Amino acid sequence: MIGSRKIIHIDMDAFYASVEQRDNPAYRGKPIAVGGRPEQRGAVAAASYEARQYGVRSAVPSRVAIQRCPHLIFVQPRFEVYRTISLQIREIFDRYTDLVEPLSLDEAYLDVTENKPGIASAMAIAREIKQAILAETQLTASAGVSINKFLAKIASDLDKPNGLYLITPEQAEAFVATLPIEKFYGIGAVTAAKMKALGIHTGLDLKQWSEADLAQQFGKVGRFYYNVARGQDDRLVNPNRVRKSIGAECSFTEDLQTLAAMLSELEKLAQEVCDRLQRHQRSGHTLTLKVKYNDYQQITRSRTLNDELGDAERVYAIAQDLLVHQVDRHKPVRLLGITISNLREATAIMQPHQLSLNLR
Amino acid sequence: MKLVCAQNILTTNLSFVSRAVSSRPSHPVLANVLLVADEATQRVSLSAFDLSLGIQTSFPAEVESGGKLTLPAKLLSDIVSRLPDGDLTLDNEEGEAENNLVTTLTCRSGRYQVRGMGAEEFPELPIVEDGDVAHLPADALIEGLRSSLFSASADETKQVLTGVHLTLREDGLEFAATDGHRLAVVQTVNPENTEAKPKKATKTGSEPTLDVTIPAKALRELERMLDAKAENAVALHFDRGQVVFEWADQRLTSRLLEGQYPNYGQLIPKQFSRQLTVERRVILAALERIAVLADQKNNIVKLSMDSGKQEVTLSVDAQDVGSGKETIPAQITGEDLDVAFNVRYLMEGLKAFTTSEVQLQLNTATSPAIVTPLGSLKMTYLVMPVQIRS
Repeated sequence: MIGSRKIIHIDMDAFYASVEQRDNPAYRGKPIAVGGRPEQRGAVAAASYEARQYGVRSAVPSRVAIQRCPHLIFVQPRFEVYRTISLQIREIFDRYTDLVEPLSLDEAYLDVTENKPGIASAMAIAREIKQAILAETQLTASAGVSINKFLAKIASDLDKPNGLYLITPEQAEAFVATLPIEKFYGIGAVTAAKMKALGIHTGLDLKQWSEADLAQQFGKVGRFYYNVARGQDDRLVNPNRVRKSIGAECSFTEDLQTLAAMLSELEKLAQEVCDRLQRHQRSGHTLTLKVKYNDYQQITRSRTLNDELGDAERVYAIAQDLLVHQVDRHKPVRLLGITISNLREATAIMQPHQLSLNLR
Repeated sequence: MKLVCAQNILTTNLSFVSRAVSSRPSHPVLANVLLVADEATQRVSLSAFDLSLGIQTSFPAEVESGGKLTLPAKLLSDIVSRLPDGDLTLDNEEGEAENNLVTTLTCRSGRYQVRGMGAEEFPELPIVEDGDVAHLPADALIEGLRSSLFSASADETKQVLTGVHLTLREDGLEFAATDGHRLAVVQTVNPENTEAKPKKATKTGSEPTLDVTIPAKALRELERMLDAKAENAVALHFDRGQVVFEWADQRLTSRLLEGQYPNYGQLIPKQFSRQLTVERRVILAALERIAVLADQKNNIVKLSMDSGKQEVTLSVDAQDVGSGKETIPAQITGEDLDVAFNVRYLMEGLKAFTTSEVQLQLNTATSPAIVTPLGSLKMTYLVMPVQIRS
């Protein structure tokens, strides 16, 4: 098919946890969680497949994780090790194409439409890459192969772990049609709930909607939904993508009425943002708090610090301060978000860091 | 004007005032020192003023005829300090007219002539007339300054943090200084000698009677001058913009730093989950050795608590340079923890203490730790750890 692209999405299987199990035989076959211990108020950054059987997944608070799986082993993350392995894997990708877009340490898109060895089959390339990763790092990856990023990412998730899945152009539309709406990339719990309220449960339902109607309901992202419902996604694999900010936000099915409720959600968001920062090996200097009231009025408040922001406790403290002092507490809140920008290089944040007093 | 004084006395007094001479004067006369000779009292006073810091000092001399003049401060002290011991004569009445701006300096070995400027151009040192006044014992003041000044910020952009915050209450004086990474709070309680007498009933209840932020630069001079003459009580006059310290033969004035000083009291945790007590000299000596290597890299020392063995290990790992480790006995309560600090911050705090034992209390490796001298409640030193990412 002329003009059709060949995109591979590679996703390492339970990356941090697998690395720990590889390097420490005592952890093999056991439920382990990489992340902060329950008494440190941390969250799980990665869980081994053994732990996932108990409902322990990434972003689950550690104290919840230990309840679900009392014999769970907590392991301190070793980011420099993950980073080194990530570079090793990156080097494998580079043998095939220069069009590599890393999403994080354990995930990347590759455009292999044209590739260095001149292999016609993207499936063959994906297989070779998986084999090389296993041979050189003793770790497994799952690969999804298709004609665009959206489909490739869905495909990599379908056969995990150690999977390889192809969605052909011919299958694309039919495939998306059967896909439950919450499995769509970029559709979270709140959007999914909203879609279901509109009667959209699958890709097929979504396809019935006009572009204009989706744009009206969902704003700019409505256009993206319109396209992906047709299996179309023209986003390029961008090897030079520079992240300007990393954030997390959450819409609430029920408006938050009390400060206590807002702070409790804010704490979760702070943890989520910091997990993402760690996953991208970044830290930043500017924190932006976003608040949407139930009347849809939206405000953002920012604070820039000399210090690097990467620690959940500190991110929460600053976000809390902004919330308490800059936000109208008498209005119910329907969305909260924390974004960290002014990002720093990965190498810089490996440096020890003198902490500052919270002077006001 | 004509006077005779001792070379060493003039040298000492010139060195006191020289710190208040502007290095880049906004007006030429500010590069000069004002010299006033009083025939009636047989005293000479020297003043220098950079428009922020002003210092005045006086000393006895043989004044034949009184008068006022200003002389280039650096030139004068460079010459006088190099002259031989003995009496000096300062005279501007030689030659033709009155108001002669050329002063002749005569000593055993010879004579120098220095051109000055008229005294009328020299600005008056600020005085505080309607402000509040407090009297403090010099030793309490010195103690407070010694234990707090080192924590003030050297970064001029940090404004209010480049000063020491003084709070005077009925029961004593509190000094606080922070550079944003550490904080020193010192209480010099001395109810007998410390009296605060607000002239005006501007403050009520238990409110502090004095609450000002004074530039560290001015206080370092004060500390230096008080060291030399520490016998008397020091009077503090202050209003919203100025503070004046007066004692014995000296006077130091400074503008106050504007802006709200951080509410530092709330930064000091009240509860701790971990505590260790060590011999101050033992840990200080070990840190000084550790610092040799730590200084090569990033000044970081790691403290590893071992409550089982009741000891703490101090270690340094200066990449590409070397590493070191020392273990010292400690009384430890709480779970074991590794925590890192800037070794300089720890040493500076420990040096300010005088007790034989010190206590380190903390909760986590990323929250404030406080160091206190054991058996004395006078000083709290709070240090933020260095976060080491693993």
